[in-house]
Amino acid sequence: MLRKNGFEPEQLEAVINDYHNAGLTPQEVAVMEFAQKITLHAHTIRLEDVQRLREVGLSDEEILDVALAAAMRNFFSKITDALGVEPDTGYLELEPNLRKAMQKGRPFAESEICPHCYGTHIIKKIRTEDGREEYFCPHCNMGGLVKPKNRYSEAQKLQVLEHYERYNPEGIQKAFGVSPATLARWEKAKRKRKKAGKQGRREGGDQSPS
Amino acid sequence: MTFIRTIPPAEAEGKVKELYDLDVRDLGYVSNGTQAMSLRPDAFMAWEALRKTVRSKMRLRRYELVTLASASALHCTY
Repeated sequence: MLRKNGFEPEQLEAVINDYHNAGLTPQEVAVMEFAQKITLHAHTIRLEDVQRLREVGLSDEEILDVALAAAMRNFFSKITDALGVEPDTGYLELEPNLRKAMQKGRPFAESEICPHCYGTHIIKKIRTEDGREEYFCPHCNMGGLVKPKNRYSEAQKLQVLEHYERYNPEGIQKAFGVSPATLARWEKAKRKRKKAGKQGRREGGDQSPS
Repeated sequence: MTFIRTIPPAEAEGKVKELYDLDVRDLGYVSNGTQAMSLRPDAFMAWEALRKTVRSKMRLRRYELVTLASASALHCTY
């Protein structure tokens, strides 16, 4: 809605991420602070909070309006969350970064969104070898399986990786069904962890003189 | 998708159809929020009346900023 009312996507994104540093007027910031406090912990609101709104120029009628509008949003959000209502697809027309900033709770219709860049124009196709569904995102050039078949536990990963040095990746794929690409990713992650672990120990050693 | 039964736009009659038509006029489509409350059109109409009344007294920009601050604090994407 704001998008249509004079806000550029960059500013709207800034407001969503941190409205204190988004070029809003002090009055607008104070109004948003009040609305946020109503939503998060209304029982802690004191006279000073209302006084602050008067200081930035709000009349008592306007303060009531802000309280009404904030409470109305709460009313509406509780209903949509309680019933599992998904955001309208109209949101999918928004800029990817803006959508990413907005996506705080329930995801937008997930199947149509790239999990890497939140772009909406992903291309899906059925892989001919095994009939599984793949996607590709032309926006960020990432892709993958729509629903990964397997989720391996850390223990299972280690078990498979033990064979990594002795057998070639194709052999491992035959034995365990783990693709060479997946295997390479695990190996990389393992090396990274090892490196981080070593560094951590070294730093720890420096601190304790022996 | 919604956890409870809703009335699809194609099957709407009477009050529900009126509400859906309003959405189409204002938004170009029937919003999921409206559909979610389609089993109780009277409650939805009362809610809409309240919303309109409050909004009419406020500058749209302020109304939307308040809505955004609240929705954001609620972790609500909608």
